[in-house]
Amino acid sequence: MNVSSPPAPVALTVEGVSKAFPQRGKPVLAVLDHISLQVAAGEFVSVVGPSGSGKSTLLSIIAGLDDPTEGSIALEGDPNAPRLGQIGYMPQRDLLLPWRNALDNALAGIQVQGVPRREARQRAHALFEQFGLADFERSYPHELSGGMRQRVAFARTVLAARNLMLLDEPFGALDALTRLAMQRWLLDIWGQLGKAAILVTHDPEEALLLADHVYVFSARPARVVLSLDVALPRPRQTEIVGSPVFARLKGRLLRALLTGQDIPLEALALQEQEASQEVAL
Amino acid sequence: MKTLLRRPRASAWILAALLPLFLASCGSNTSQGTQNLTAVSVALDYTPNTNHTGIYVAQQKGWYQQQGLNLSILPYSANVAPEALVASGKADFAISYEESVTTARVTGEDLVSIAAIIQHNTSGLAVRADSGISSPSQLAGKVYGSFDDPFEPYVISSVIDCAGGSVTPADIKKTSPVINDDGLASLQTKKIDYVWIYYGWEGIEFQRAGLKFNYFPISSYCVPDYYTPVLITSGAFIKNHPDLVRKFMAATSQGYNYAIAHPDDAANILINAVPPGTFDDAGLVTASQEYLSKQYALGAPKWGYQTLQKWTDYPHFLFQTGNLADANGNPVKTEPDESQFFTNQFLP
Amino acid sequence: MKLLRAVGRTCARVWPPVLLLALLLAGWQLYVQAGNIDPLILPAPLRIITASIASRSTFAAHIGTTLYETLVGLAAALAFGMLTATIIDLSPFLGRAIYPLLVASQAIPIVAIAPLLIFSFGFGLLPKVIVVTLICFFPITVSMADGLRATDPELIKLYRTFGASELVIFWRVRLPHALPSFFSGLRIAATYAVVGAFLGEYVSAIYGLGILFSYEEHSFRTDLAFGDVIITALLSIALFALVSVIERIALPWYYAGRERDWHEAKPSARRRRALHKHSQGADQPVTIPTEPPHELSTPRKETL
Repeated sequence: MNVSSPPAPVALTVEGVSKAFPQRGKPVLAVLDHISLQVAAGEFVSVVGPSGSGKSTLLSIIAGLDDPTEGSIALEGDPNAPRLGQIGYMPQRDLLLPWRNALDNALAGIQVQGVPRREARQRAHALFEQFGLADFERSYPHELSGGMRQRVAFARTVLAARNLMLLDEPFGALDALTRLAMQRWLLDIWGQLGKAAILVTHDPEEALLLADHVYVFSARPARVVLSLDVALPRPRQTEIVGSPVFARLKGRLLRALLTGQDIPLEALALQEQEASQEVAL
Repeated sequence: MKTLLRRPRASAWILAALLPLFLASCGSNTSQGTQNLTAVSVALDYTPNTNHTGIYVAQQKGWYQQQGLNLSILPYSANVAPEALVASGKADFAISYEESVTTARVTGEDLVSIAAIIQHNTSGLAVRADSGISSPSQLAGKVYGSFDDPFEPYVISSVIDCAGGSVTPADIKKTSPVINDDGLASLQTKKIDYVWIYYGWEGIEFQRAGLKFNYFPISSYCVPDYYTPVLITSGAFIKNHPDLVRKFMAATSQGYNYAIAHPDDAANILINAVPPGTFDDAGLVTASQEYLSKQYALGAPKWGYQTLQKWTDYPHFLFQTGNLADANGNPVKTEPDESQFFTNQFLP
Repeated sequence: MKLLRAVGRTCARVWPPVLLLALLLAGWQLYVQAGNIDPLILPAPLRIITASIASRSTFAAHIGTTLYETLVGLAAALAFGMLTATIIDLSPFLGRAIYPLLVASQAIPIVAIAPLLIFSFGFGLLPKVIVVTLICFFPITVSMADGLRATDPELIKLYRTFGASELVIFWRVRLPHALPSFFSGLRIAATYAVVGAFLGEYVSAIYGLGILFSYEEHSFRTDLAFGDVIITALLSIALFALVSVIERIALPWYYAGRERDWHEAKPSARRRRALHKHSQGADQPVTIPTEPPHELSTPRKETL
């Protein structure tokens, strides 16, 4: 994130979005409670929260698949802008079509959006080169490993996104080692992509490692408990998880996740002081 | 081919959708040489046999075409009666029998017999020689292989009673499984005791197959002589197209007269006119034709000629046994006017 | 080398049913000969084969008609089946309306409907084609409708985020997804198609294996009638195999993934024995006896 340039244009603004699902015979299920967040152009934002806290619901609403019960969503400043077909969406499973090879899978999104086939193939090919997948363009999904399939899905998401990508626990289905490799890979290429992204995860470390900004959600109905700037340098290395800055940020994240409140370290020290004072008394 | 494989999905669907059109267009080529001829059809009563020779001869010799007719010989179907086809207008002509015409007319169907193919009833009951049955009276209580016509029980019970037995049609019905066409097989395997056959066809067939049988002609046992088979058409067709009926009969008579004069040649024509596999034994066709050619017009002024007497005696017989039923299944109270059943006006 | 292995694999798969068939035929032959069975009732297999070969020109004259009716009827069943499956999928309302009627259409015995068909459609090939279509469309409709319905909802959601309309989703996602299921139905339909043509011809026809069967019955040639039935069966098998081959070509991706999984999941008995032996040998130390055990009188070589 550039700090020395004029304020970046906004890719997405979510204002006071609430979502409740009516249920037959049961009280209404409130999932989101006045969520507000912002994503600047080219910014990587993480949303972390406990399972079932409506993170995926929020992504669905942002993508245009669903409407909020309250509040508004503005794409690049325009609340009336249609969102379907503009935003890249990457679900947890790769959902690659088994009857297409890797390249044809990657261009699935832009194909629907009407890009002519030749141009679509060129764009996909360029991205494959960038991702180191050039040798596997003609391979079919059943011939690829889990990590590679996820990379193809990621390429599909990048191509389909105009400026914004939504990543719904994209590495959740992978084993731990592959997940680490994918995180490292993502850090490597992030700078070249030039798009904004919202990553949803329940892993606070992943949230911090990849993002410029982290939002912590409470349990259902979800509200924003913490909105944290991640002041770590870019380009980033995975080794940064060992640094003290990372540890402090992670601590604050975890406290927010576990208690549902934002308790910065200074306030924490104050709390401990008061607690020990009470004991003394 | 490469494009097909590259886009197998699209190709598969498109092919599947277009295939019916392609195949249908392949098969819809009709012969163009029959444009100036009027199409008429005759429905057969059975798989082709020597009862039908005259028709096949006339067709092969082009005599129908000479009359301006394009004749289709409609194949036999076990489930659809030729009488029904004519009555409903699906066939213009058909091969039928005096008894069928009688029973059909009293139910209101307007069928008319226009020619007798064979002058005398050449059918009878056949029973294995080694069964020891030498008279129809001994057939009482035996199993009869039926072809499911309503008049069978009445005729057979008359035959048996005439010879001294004492059965009712109901008795016969009780012991008559339907065998459709397997006369020889049924007799040989002794599953059936007796069947009703045409001597000129099955009779000769049995002989050639080496099956020794005793034969009781129907008309020798109190059942009046009658015409079987006959050529029929509908009253409506006669009213609307008398010219076509005349032309059809002209060619058909020619055919049968040819068969009478040249049995061997006629037999050959029949053998070659039908699809392969129809006749297993060409010798049977020849032998049968030699027998039948003498029978076609036996005792008549010309082939096909019908008398009121022969058209009255048998229906009268059926009527008297109380076994003529109308369309609702109730026995007919008054004897029908048999003179309406037939006409000779179309014989050349 | 690859070809040899493929041939060997086919032989390994094929010999059990072939052997069984040979045994059954041998048993049949012996039964007929020993019991002096009348060939009119049950002809021996050898007689059937020799008679059929002798009559091969007759069969050749009729088989074309049956084949034509089968293929046209199957093609029409394809078109109609795909159409109804699509309707059922795109409009649940219409689907609910027509589904019971489709099921009911299968309950009508052909023998009952055939005379009706002849009355309505005449004596040409059309009624037979209709019989085949009637029999064959249903498995295609059902399997394709099921295949369409079973598409992953997550995948549909993904395509919606691309901005795809329902029609685009149908064409690009659901239809290809339904292909394997569709081919299952087609395989079933192919097996029934020939029988349908046969039945239609048996009721009334001039040419065709069905009416040839009737001619043979009337001529009391039971051996040829049997031969006729066997040829009909072979035709069905050939059609089934053809559909399977087409499926393989059209859906390479479907089989490639599965075959690998199948082989890994269940190794052949031989391989299992080899694995077992291998694991056994690895556990125990190898000892070479210096003298034969007491129970044995002759020494034998230890194989590892």
